[in-house]
Amino acid sequence: MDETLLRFRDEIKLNNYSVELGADDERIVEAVRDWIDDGIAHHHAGGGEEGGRNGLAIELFSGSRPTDIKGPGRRRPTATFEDIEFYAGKNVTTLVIGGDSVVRVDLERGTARGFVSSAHLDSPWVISHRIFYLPLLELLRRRGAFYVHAGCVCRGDRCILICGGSGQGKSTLTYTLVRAGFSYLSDDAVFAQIRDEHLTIFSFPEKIKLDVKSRSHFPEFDPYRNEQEKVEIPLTETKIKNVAVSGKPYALVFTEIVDQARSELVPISQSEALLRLIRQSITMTNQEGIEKHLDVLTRLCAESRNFSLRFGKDIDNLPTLVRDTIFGEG
Amino acid sequence: MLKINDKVVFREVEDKIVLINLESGFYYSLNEIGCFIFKRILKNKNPCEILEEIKHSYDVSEERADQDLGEFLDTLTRENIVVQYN
Repeated sequence: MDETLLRFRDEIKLNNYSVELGADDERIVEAVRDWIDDGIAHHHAGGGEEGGRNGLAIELFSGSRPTDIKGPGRRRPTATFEDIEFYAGKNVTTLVIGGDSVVRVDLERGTARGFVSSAHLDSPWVISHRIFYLPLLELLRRRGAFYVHAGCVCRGDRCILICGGSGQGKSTLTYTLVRAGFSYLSDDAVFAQIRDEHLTIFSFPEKIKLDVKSRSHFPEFDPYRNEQEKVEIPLTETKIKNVAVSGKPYALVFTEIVDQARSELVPISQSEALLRLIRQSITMTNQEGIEKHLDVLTRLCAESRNFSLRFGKDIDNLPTLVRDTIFGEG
Repeated sequence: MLKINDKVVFREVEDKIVLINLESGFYYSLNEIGCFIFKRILKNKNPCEILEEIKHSYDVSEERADQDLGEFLDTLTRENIVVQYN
């Protein structure tokens, strides 16, 4: 780290990884810190110590742009996502966010150095979810932890990953199951990692996010009724009693809202599950990373029971449906 | 001759093959007959050899097999999943 400029620091622990964040502006560190849930982070800090932690570092500058943080030049992007361009090389991936924030990710060294444009400095969501998080996903992928866009709950150490596009009931199902006694891992993103030849799922310690429709099902979120769209809610204001940091994959559930009274859990094939996971989880950056990501997702589908949830209007019935159909307790 | 584009990654899952074209970002799954053909392209078989193997393995007329194989190879070529080489 550049000791003279990066005066603001934080460290985020993720299972057996630690991420050191340094910035020259307090707003950058605050944006990331506000996104992290202290209650969940506390569980990460105490776990996953076996074999030491993989150290990663992200350094973000906003005042003056260091000379080594170069744009991609005249190259064509390898991939684009919303207003983000990815330029992938074998060991370096460059991200251009919103046209003028740039992060150079050194996959080999496990470090990322970036420049936050003045236009983004007062946008905490862009800083946390784009300028900080997307480089982190690239670093973690090179270090063997692969992003899966899914909520996750646990029963013992058996995880149910809950996948689905925006507005398809992913967070609602996650939270419904947690209220019914399942442990909470995440409502939006987990990482799949092979450790000691076993596939393991672990979470990222972010606050739970619920949109207006999801919140309307649960009375404890009445204080947020005047808020629009998605709200990040700290653990302490939820009914989450048990938090898990990691577990073993047991089932994948792909949610889809349907206009019918009763919900149905329908088994789907491994290939169907894999296609849906690819759509939700793989960023098309460097080929080596994509191949490894695909291997892990393939194994995840092979080791899980795969279902499509036709999500009806009977939310109260969902925990029983899951217990009966997935865990065979009916 | 045809070969699979170097920028295509694929995995066999149960009885299907799932493909990602890294250039376009598109992904696909192949059904049973699609897998049958894809695996033969991987083995450097030419379209005539593949057609013979389809006729030998499936209860289908030569005309129908020829038409379906042609359409499938056209699709793979159009999607840049297979490329021509000499």
